[in-house]
Amino acid sequence: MSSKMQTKRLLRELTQLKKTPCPNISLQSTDSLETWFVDIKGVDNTLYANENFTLQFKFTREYPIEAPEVTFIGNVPLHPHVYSNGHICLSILYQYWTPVLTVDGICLSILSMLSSCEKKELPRKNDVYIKKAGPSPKDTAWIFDDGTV
Amino acid sequence: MEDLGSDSGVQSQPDKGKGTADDEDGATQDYGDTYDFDDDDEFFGMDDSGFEPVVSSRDQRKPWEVEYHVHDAHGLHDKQEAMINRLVPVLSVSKDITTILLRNSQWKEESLVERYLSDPDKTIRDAGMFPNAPAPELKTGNEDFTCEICYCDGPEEVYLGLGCGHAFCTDCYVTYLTGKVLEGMSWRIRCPGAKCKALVGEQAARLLLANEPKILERYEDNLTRSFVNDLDSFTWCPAPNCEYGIECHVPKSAWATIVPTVHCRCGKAFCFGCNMDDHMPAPCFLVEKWLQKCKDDSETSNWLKANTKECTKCKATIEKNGGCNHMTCRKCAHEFCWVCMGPWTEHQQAYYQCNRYNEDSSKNARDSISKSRALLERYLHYYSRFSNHERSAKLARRLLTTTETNMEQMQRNSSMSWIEVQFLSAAVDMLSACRATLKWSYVLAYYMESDNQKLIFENNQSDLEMATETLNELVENPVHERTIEEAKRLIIDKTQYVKTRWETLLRDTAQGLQENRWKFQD
Repeated sequence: MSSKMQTKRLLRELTQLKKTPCPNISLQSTDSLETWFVDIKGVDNTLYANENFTLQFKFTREYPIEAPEVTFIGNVPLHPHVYSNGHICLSILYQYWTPVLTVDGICLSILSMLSSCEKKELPRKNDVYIKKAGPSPKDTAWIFDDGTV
Repeated sequence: MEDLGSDSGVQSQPDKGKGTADDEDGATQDYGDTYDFDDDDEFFGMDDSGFEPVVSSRDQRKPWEVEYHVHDAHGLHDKQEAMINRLVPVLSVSKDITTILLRNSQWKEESLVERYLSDPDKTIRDAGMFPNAPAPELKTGNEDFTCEICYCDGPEEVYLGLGCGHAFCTDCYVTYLTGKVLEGMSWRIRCPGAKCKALVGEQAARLLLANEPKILERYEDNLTRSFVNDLDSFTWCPAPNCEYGIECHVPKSAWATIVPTVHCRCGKAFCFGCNMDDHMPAPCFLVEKWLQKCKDDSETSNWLKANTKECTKCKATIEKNGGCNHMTCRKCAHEFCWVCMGPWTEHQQAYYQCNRYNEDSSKNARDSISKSRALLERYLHYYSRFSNHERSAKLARRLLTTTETNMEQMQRNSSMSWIEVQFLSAAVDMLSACRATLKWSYVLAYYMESDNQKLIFENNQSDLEMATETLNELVENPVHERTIEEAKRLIIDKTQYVKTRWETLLRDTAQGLQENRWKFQD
């Protein structure tokens, strides 16, 4: 992916996110075109109603052929698929990424993952994972065993 | 090189050596008529007449040899093409779709045709293609086009769309394909559209990668790789860096009675069934059992059974290494008699004698101990011979180096030319082959139930073993108290004799396995 094409795509996504944001999703700040922070707000009538979280997006040079690196920073939601270091176990961020997915789409997926949660709890073996995991969740070999989200 | 186009060569056993390019060329010709994909069994002569070679007399196979073909990359490619081209008129759809259908059904033509004829549209859709989609082409000049990946748009963009309707600009497509191809994927690459199940067909991929020759080459490699991996009748030569594929139509069901040893053009001899080094004459299932037995230490427990007893109270394992019969368990302090295992309180002062020896309970205990001791001894008998030949085979390889020195020495000390001293290396080659066969023959013998047939087998085995040892000695010390000419004559004679014994053993076991001559036990 040439950097010109990448810039074009990112700028386009950025404008879209600023102009016509989806409900509960808002762009917080962009340090540079490579790192974005997006605020998401828990959907009403779910376990996370009125809670605010921040997602960090890091785009590699290969974006959008490769998935961005997405993690929760600051306040990490208590959720069986979110580790306490902010790493998210979500198939579309890793093996099931396709280049037509967007920042918007990822935020929506994460919101729906939060909304469908029935019990706030840490993932199994959270302690083991955060000790072993590297800084980027993309270096983890994920196994997606829960088909419900 | 002239045999670039030719791919398949009928290769024979070591005496034929590494077949020359010429005779492989010849063999390619009649290869097409000698077999048919659909009737392995018939082709292989699986009826009671045994193991008759179906090939022409020019290509006489030994009874223990199987028919196989070694293919290089070109050959494998041609092989795929031939299978595809044969099916195109049957299904009467485009070659692109036929190819995907074949790959998707693991090249099982029969079941594919059956499924296709009952519901052509569904079969094509299930495979990720579209029945009436036009052939993929690069398009341009569309005002409404927007690439969903990089958001470039406008009539000047060149793009490609599949039957699913998703279209992307060629730049994005090529980058996407490149990534997938480098991951090792080929025909399973899907359209980049979200959750789209459409496959990027070979025609589309070739179109897109036309300007990326290196990636295209890798793509074609991946296609061939999946072809060989998907077909049961193909396998890769397991030798490091060897790129030949082997085709062999001995069905899996026959591996219990046929050892499908194949010789790759790189020189590697291996079993087509289990990809292990050649293990003639033992069939795959015994080899697997044997290696498992050697590995999982089941014999350690046999040793424990034979040499130790358990404390009757706490079950701690105890090995008695001296002293009297009065045992006091270190773990639980239970006192008992080593001989009859009864509690010591019943024994009073009889430290070195146990008058309760003939009680039933103590008899039973001793029986079970001696039984497991016999099992252990039997295993060790075969294992020591198996590993002895394994060691000797390694030494034989070292012998090859000393033999080369010997050969040079001979040339210096006599008037023999280089060609005249080749008998020595021929003898070493023969030795290596015999060592490998002997090694695995002990595995066969270990599992054979004792009867007269086993006796015959063991006679053959010991004949070969003795001949091999004599030849080994001669080769190691060729001119010991002899003239060079005498040594040469002796070694050539002995090599010939060993070869006869070797062939006898192989022929006999191959036939024996076919006839179910032996019963195998666990």
